[in-house]
Amino acid sequence: MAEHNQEQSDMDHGLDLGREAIPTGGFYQPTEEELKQRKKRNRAIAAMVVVFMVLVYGITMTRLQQNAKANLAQELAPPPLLTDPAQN
Amino acid sequence: MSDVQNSTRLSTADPRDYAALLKPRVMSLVVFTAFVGIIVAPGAVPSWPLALISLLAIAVGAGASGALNMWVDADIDAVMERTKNRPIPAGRVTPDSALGFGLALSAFSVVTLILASNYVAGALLGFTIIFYAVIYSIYLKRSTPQNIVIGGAAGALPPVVGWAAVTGSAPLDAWILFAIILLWTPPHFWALALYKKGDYEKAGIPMMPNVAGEKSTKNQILVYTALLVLISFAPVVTGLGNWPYGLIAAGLGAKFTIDAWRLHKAPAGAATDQAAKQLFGFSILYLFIIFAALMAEHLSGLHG
Repeated sequence: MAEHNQEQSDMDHGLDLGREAIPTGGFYQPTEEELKQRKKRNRAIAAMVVVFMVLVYGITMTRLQQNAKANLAQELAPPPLLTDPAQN
Repeated sequence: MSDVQNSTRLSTADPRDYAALLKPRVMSLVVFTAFVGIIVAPGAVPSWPLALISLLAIAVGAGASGALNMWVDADIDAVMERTKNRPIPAGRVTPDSALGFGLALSAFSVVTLILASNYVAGALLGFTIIFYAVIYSIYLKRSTPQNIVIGGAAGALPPVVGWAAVTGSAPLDAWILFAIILLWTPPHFWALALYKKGDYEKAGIPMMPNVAGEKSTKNQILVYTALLVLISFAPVVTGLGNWPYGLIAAGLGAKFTIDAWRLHKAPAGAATDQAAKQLFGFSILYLFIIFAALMAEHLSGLHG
């Protein structure tokens, strides 16, 4: 029992060291539930990143289209009069 | 031992817990009022896809400020009956995770809004988030009974942001929408605070009924109701609304005033609780209908 407690205490100490980024040789084994939930969260984050990318792409394309239309309208517009007809 | 294990365990938070951090019910009201701002702004919407992306950014920004508010209020939420099951006090999401989530979404929402619309709208959204998360949640809420009067500005800004998103400016008419929500906030929240007085007292939040007492709160509710009814006619004066809106605003204002008067006259105890619940419930409907009326008028061509 005492041996078990000592072992446990070493492990706890090891985890503390692990937090300080000191190699301990030990590792934490996540439970099935923890792994499942982490996977779910990762998928949600991935979905959010994809949505953000699609939004930025969509915004860029829409802006380009707006600018192209505006340029075309400017090119098709009749040239400005060189003289003011009111003066003739 | 258990502390060490707890600190090293992976989180078992579900994505739905993070969604709950966004305060979806508050978000829905923000989305609605911002959408009304987009619709009633002068001229045609320049690009519907960009307007809808802007609306999404405003919604995410509102959610982000909700997450930051929950991070700030975790200690209060744990004490209050109404909020003790929120993700942070319930232990499903750590405060650090909520903070990171709120900050990341704030940045995404403001950047997206700037890209999809303009800097004015982006700056207004950024200001709204900071005002709610920092000025209201950290300072006002815990220090003054005027917390929701001043803090109401954060909830009142979304229609202005929506307006700015499609026009690039925020003229007087946009600020009238702001004023309607700003003046609606005190009667709405103080009605809630009247029948949840015990909860707020337990958490040590200086809400008006806990600080100034029931009678004073009821008087102030009446004053703010009168101001709200007055400002609700401002759109008719400036031309933002027409007579159908005016009629609806008059009817709604009359009902709001009657409910506020009933609360004012209700004896302390169960009768006050009942009247406060009635006013609180109607206030939500009031805001929804008054904004919907304005929007319907613009969409149906009855306006101007």
